[in-house]
Amino acid sequence: MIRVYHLYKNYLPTVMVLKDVSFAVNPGEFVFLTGPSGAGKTTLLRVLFAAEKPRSGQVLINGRNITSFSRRQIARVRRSIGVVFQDFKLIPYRTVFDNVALVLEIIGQPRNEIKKRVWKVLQLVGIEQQYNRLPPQLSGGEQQRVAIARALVNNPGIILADEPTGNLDFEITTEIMNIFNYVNSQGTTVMLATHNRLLLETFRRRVLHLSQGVLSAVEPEA
Amino acid sequence: MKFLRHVSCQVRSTWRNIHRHLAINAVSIVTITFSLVLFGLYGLATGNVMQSVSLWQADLEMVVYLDDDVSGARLEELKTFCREQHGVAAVHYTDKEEALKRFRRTLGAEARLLEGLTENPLPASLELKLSDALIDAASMDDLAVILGIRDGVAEIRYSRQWLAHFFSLLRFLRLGGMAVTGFLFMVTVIIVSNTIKLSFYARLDAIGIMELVGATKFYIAVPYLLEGMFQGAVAAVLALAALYGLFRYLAGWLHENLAFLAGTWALRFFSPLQTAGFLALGIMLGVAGFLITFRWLKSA
Repeated sequence: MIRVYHLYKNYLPTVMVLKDVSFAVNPGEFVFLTGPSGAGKTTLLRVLFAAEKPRSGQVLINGRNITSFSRRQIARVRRSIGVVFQDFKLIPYRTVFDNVALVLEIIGQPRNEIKKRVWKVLQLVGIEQQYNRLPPQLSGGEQQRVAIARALVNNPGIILADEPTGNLDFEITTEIMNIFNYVNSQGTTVMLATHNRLLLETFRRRVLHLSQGVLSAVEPEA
Repeated sequence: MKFLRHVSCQVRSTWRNIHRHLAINAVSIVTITFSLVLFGLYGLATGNVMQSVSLWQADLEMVVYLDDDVSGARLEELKTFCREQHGVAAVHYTDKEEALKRFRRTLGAEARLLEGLTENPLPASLELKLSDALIDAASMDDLAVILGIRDGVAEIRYSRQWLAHFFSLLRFLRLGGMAVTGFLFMVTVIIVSNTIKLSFYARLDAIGIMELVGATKFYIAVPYLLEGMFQGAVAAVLALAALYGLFRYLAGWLHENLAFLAGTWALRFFSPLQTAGFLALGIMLGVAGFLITFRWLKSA
């Protein structure tokens, strides 16, 4: 489902962020992407949903090389990937409901269907009581749940999550990880970036370890 | 069906944007209204001047004075020749007696001055009503030369100097009008495009997020297009209301203070068709402003 071959990415001519990264994530797999801050985790995820263009290498999502995609094709591929951002990236002036509904509005779902699916996913992440509130009125944990709901609402085949529990306490982290585990158990591929060792030890999954832009170790699932 | 869903979703999104950014929208609408009022004032001024000019033009005539011995077949031949000339709308023959009667009427109480005359000194004439086709002084000069060399024609009179000014004014209004109109249009489009850009800047984060979750640039841009059209339409309605108020006030003032000139002009507000055109212009300005911004967004 995700195949990456000899991926290189640099921001400045001399600053190489990703160096010859190659790996594969199979359909329905749950993979942790780990490494210290500045290792290139966020950049790798951004390349996977085409927010960054690599210098060289190939990125295959569902068998299609997205590195040569046009803007329209990129928009289409992003609709098949649910992304959870570390900083949530919620639109502050849209309500919780409208933020989650946005993805379905973009693909032209009927209004009734949108209501049904948004409500269902809000219940799944446990934020349905706050549906009419604006993101700035929510706590960090609540905002993260909204971001997860938005990533899930379109039933994507792949979820990419960038430090989704970065600023949350362990109790909320566990709740959020349970949501990811649940969607993974439904067949969704999950790739979750984190530098939290405790998380890796608690939820034993295959780990891709990045260090200074190099994929240094691929730990098998325990 | 999917297309209609997209349209309804975009309209809702536009409405939401307008509500959330009332201040930016109000600034845009006021700016466009101001530009349209200037534009409309120019349109009304030129329209009314042209209207008055056509009234004066309808009164344009050339008088061909005839020799005293012209009569019968020669007169008919001259009338026919005049009618056949380009730019001549009608020919009216005034014989010597009619000319004298008119002169008496013109003199009014002083008509007794004519009582001592033993013979009628006034010549018969052909009065040529000129059409719009004869729009410049040079053409009138040409016509005068052609008629002047005919047998039986004594003299030709028309207001050469006045006509020269009149036709220069017409040319100035037409050419100047096009230039001013073009300039105002450009300025307005730039203002609209900049206000839409401001609106984009205010929502740059949201636009970025929409792109990240799979929206195309076009999808993102449509509410702004609709917003531009809405702003243009509202501004056009406001501008029309302001122009109508100004027009009524000025027309009243002119009738009160310059009543003696009342017959020389015909003041008119925009016709229903022109009003619809003005509304369409407002919407077009919104669209044009958006298109410039969209090019900028595409390259951003």
